[in-house]
Amino acid sequence: MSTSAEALDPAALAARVKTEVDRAIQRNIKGLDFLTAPRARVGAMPSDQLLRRGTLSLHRYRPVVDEVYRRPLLIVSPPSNKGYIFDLASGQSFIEYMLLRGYDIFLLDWMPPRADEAHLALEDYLLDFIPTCVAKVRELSGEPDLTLSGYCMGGTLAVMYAAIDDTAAVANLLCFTTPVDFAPMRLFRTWADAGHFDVDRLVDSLGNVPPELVLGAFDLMRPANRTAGMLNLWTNMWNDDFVRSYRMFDRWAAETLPMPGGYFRQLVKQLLWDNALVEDRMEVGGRPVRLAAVSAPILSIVAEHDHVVAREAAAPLLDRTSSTECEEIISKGGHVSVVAGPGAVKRLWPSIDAWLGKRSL
Amino acid sequence: MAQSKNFDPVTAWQQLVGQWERQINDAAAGVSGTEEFAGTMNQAAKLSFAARKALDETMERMAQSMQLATHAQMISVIERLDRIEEHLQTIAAALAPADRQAAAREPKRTRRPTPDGGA
Repeated sequence: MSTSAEALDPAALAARVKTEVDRAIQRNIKGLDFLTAPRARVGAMPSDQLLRRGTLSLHRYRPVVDEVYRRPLLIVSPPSNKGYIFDLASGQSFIEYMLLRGYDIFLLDWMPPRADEAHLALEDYLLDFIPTCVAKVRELSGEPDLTLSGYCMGGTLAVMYAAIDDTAAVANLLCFTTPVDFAPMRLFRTWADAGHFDVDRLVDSLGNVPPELVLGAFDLMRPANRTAGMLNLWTNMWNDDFVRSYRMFDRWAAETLPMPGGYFRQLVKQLLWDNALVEDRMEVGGRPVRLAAVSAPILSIVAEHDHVVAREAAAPLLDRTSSTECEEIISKGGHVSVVAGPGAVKRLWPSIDAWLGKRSL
Repeated sequence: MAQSKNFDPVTAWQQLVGQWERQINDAAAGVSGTEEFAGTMNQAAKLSFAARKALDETMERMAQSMQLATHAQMISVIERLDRIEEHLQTIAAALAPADRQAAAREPKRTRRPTPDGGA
């Protein structure tokens, strides 16, 4: 136990005051820089664009080692967000981490849908975009199968594709915070309740659904986050790493994409209202999409403090598929910290590498 | 007493902010999760979209009367440029196939994990 004399040690107190004064000065200087700075740079690893067709954009990251695993890894980004979240910056990039460990990585990213793409629906994603990219990856790698991965709704698309894939291309599924059971997503379901939310009218009048709607919903879920984030930013304004990281995440969130109206309509009606995937009623292009048809090994990653996709929403991946190799990792942090951020580098990604390495031969 | 020795005002401030954030979020979740809130929110959204649509139409009429390009026309030009860019990329890819270039530097696909499971 310390004494009050120790607590008020003049030398320690002076040092503390000096540090805080220095930081206050730094905050003011760097605060001005922050306000006048251009957009944060994102992307650590070089890549080549292989396909570009409307909203679809397929990239291959250049391997950084001489010897890679046989099976390539295809990551599906969520249609509402840019895929550079997987590759924000060196030291906190999932892509960089996996490239260094010998994976051949492809990313299915999305451009903002044009007005004439407002009709795009799950059929386009599952029967055209993903199969086209899978075929391209197979052609380029010369390998018959691959690991399919996805984050959030990108994971849901990956799982649904695995359920209808008749080419046996999906050898493994790597799912980051992937919702398949929409019943636990209570806030979204309440807000989009059929009693007062007229999705047809919204889509028919807007075409593509503007990103403000999605961002507004996320802000509404955690209304204090933005203010608390700004307060934390100000407190840490002297810390260049913190500010750099904040700006990159902020840019990513601000660059939320519009969603094609047709796709949004199906999300609301089939997944939020009907919960059709987990209730075995899902159909895409007249084809049944059944979780039981998924037999590939699955690694499901959920986050302890995820306010968007709760653990229960991803749980059926572990017990409703036919896969005999299902594992779950509960990561510390929130919805985004599983795919970006320094925390995942130390704890989560080594576990993913250990699981996937032996299944990529 | 040990606490007072290690007292860090910045950490205390951050804890306070964190606590405030949790409390506000929890309180908001209680309110925003109700049917009444959802109904009101959707009504407000409907009105907001209707107002935006009306404003867009007014602006479009104004732009037309002043012989300026409307927002819709600008978007249309951007999308046409986007399509041209797409075609150019396809042509560039056909002229210098990325596949062949990639094949030239294809790494060996023989990697195996280390005994501890990682690469």
